[in-house]
Amino acid sequence: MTAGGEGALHRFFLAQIDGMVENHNNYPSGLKEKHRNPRQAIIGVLLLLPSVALVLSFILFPVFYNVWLGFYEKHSFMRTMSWVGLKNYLFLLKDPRFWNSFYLAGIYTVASTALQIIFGISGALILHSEFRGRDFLRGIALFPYMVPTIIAIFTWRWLMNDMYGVIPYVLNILHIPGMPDAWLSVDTIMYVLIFLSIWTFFPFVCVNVLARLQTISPRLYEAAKVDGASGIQQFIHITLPELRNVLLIVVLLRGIWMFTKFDVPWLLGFGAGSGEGIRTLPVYTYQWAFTFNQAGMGAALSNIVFVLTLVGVTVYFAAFPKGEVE
Amino acid sequence: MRDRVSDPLTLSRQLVKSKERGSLRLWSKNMGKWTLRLGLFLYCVFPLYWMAVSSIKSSPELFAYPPTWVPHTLSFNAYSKLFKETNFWTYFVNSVVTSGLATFIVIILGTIAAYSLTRYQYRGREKVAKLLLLAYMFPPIILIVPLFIFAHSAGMTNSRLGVSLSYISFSLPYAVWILRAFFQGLPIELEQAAWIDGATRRQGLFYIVIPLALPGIIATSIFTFIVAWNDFLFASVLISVDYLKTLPVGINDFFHTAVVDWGLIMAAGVMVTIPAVIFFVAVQRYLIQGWGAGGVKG
Amino acid sequence: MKTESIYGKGMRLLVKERKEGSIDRRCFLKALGGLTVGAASLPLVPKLARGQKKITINMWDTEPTPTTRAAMKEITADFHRLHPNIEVISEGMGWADMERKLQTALAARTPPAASHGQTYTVTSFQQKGIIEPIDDMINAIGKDRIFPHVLRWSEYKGRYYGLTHSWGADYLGGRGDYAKEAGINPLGWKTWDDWLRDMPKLNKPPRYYGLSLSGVPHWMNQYLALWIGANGGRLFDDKGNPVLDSPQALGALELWRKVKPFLPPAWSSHDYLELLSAFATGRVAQVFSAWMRAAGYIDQYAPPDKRNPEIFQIWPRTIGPMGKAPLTQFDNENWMVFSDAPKEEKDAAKEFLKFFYKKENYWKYCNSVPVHLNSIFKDDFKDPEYLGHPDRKRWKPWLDYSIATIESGRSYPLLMCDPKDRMIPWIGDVGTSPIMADMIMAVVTKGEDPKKAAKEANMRITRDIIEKWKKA
Repeated sequence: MTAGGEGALHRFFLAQIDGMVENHNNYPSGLKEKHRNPRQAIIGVLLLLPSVALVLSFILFPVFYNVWLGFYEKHSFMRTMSWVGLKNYLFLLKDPRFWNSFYLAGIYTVASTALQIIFGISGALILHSEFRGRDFLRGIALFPYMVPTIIAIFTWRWLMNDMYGVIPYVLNILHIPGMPDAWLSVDTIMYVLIFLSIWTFFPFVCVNVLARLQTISPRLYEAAKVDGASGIQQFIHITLPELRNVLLIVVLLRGIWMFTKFDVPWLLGFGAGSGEGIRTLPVYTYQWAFTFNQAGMGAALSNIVFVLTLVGVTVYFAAFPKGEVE
Repeated sequence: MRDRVSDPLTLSRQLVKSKERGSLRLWSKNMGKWTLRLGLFLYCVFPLYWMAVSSIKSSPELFAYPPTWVPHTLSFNAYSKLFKETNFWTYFVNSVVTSGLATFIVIILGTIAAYSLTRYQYRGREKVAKLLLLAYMFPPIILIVPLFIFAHSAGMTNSRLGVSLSYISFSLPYAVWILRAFFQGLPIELEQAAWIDGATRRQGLFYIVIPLALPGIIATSIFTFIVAWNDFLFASVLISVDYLKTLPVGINDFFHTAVVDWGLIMAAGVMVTIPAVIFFVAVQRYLIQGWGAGGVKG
Repeated sequence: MKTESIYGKGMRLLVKERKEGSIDRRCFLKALGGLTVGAASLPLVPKLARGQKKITINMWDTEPTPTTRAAMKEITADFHRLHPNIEVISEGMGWADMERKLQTALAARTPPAASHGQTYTVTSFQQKGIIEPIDDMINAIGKDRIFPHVLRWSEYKGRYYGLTHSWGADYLGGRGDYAKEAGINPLGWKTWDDWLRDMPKLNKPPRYYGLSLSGVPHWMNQYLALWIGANGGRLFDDKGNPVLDSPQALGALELWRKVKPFLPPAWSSHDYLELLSAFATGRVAQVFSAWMRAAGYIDQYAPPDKRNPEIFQIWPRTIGPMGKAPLTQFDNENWMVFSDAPKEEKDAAKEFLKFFYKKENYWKYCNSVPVHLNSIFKDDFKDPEYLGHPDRKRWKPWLDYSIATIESGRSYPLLMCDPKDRMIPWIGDVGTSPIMADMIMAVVTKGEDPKKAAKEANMRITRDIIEKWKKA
């Protein structure tokens, strides 16, 4: 294409943007013909290949190693190992602590993911409208995600500490009934864990949703306002469907990540303190591998986490089918 | 059909304004909005405030009870100690290099991978995309032993490139999936029209898809950078010499010294996050802003 | 690197041909993809050694304090001047990081030449041949110069497998000013009953709490071991089986229940370093297990007028109803040399350690954190220059206490209630795992029956640690 041709393309594109409103979810059938072309398919594969190769080269060996190790009993420091087949798994199935840690991981995942999504969408909506200081607030809203985990958790431990914490101190002064003064002890530390996880991770939801909001044509909203739709109706009928693709993947990612998260609960207990209050499945896995020093059992536990996550993801994909490109 | 309403934006604006002019509802709506904005601000900033204030308190005051909101005695010892007695700047540079390189590569590879997933069709496309998510289904801490064995045999230990590669491999799955979601939201017929007009796929990608998906690309690059910036696991497994350590590994050591200086840790926290916050605030204007979609006014 | 140059050459050729138009886009993309896959899948060739004779050794220690790192940097630089073909990479890290790194390094068959290890680690490693004896090195350094109480823990079947880098003894730290305020004399304490009788007078929440304990499992396990020992009992019997349901152990659990009301409410979440800050700032009246490093915390966090041993005192460890003598913990982290490391690295490591323990170098190390890192040589504690260090002068009562514990002999490394425990290879795993901590939490916070909880802990230890160890 000549230079003049590219300029024409720009003009053409700018002229088309007005037409996005009515057509934006209809994909004409002409697309299929263009794509069912083996040459195109090969190019498509080649474009995907570098990413997949890079990811798999790092992941495959550790995954297989772990799956294999789960069938053995091996002390973490020693060289020798002995085959035990499914013994590790059978032990875990009968282990009350395994079930307890699974239960805690479930609560943590569901509660923190759901609340991160709610806070994230709310934050994105707040940051979407124009107001003075909006850019500043957008930077601030990203801040919790930016703090290195160990410092964030340590700061929260300090804020909630029973001897020095400013938050229990203020709650005390305000005489709010029913507030524990030992937030970080066994009974209530899970609440602190969930709360600080929301604080740390909601920006991920917020910024991704905000980015998507920015690409929704405002004409959709203008048209709706002309029709007399209220704010809530606009949200339900315009915003949410537009957000669907991004939200689906964000919920999936946050869910997976919260279920497999180790460092946040581990560091909050500063190394498994507070008894079994936050001994989630990843923490319990770590304890078997690095405190009981049984690598085989640790591998078996991580394989169970893997299977559980895989099941969850499969169910998720079945419930929310994707693929709207065709 | 491509319906060209003449300047619908101005029209709706006039309609909307005439409805709201001079109404009390406007004021209370604004009040509510500003309360929400303030709430968001306080929620995010309070721990930052505490970190910053703690970094300039004198050590004894750090643990004062009742806690002090404003330092009674100012002390910048933590900062001078941070820069003079620790290798903070070395760690900072290492983090910038590894995270920057990783982000750059992830965006390039992730964009073309997402483009492939949404604008091409081939067998097994969805399956391969889902295979990428495998990377996230284990608690990463359990993978450190085999990861080290693999990295060591590939000669990637004690190298910033090795660390970057590990960041790239672990960020690509979510980068590809999120960019895919953004690309999915773009109407295909824009590119189609361009193709009909004689544009190549590459031109379609560069002039249509990328600009329109730019907010998503920017969001993904932000998160790739932050995840790499904050990573502790890979850097600690792959690096064992001090001059190659990244910030999280260096900061982790602060928690294990003979006498832990909590003020120093807070100062490190401030130094690690405040510059990043300033950068993102400054760049906001140019980044999270779509073409023709600057946000709903009001 | 081989891979890079093939890839680089291929890329350049490809781009050149594309620009010239001799291959079309399709071929270009195919070749590009092929090259990328090829480059990504070839293992990168490891860097060649810089010179055949150069030896690089890794020495991992657990002292990441900046002043100690600076001292080690000087020492390794001086060593390099004497031995230009040996490069020593000295790295400091926290204990949890050390254990993780050692695990990965051992699994990959690339251990450091030498690292620190707790006494229980030396026991289990020497039993499996992971570390090798270092008698020749110790003799060269001067075996007779070392405190016998330090050296005794590294000896297995007549050979020495480790050498302590610096030692310490823990103590019960207490605020002299609070004792005065309460009108009590802690120095007269002998038994647990004395201790419990005075404890309420030291407990004035929210100003300060009577006692502090860490809630981290390996600390909880250690406290229990100290109390069982003070009650005349042991964690293990002669065969190494756990006896947590013995009357002495149950007595120790009972003591924990009795002191719980005097602990800060969220004690189960506290890490031990926080407690040292709390001690320094006066939020707790006692720290059950404090170490010499508390002096550093006091110097940093306590009000300037209170930074002295008159305010921050060492109070007596007391004995239980079935005990005869109190027990303290002996901090005994050893340098150990790994069998799997190449021979020239091991020899280089031993040469370095001989250099390290020379007075001019070793004192640099010990002086980097003066009261915390104590010299292993008897003569240093008689040397006016060593003792004349200002911090050591100021905290002299603490140093005297440490020497006294060595001389009394009732100071044992982690998890040991009796010198015989030293030979049990699995006490390390018991100490780091949360089994005993779970038992304590069940009894103390959930009110479960102690005997039942103890029996369950015995069962878990036997099934999950001992039986697996025996098979390994």
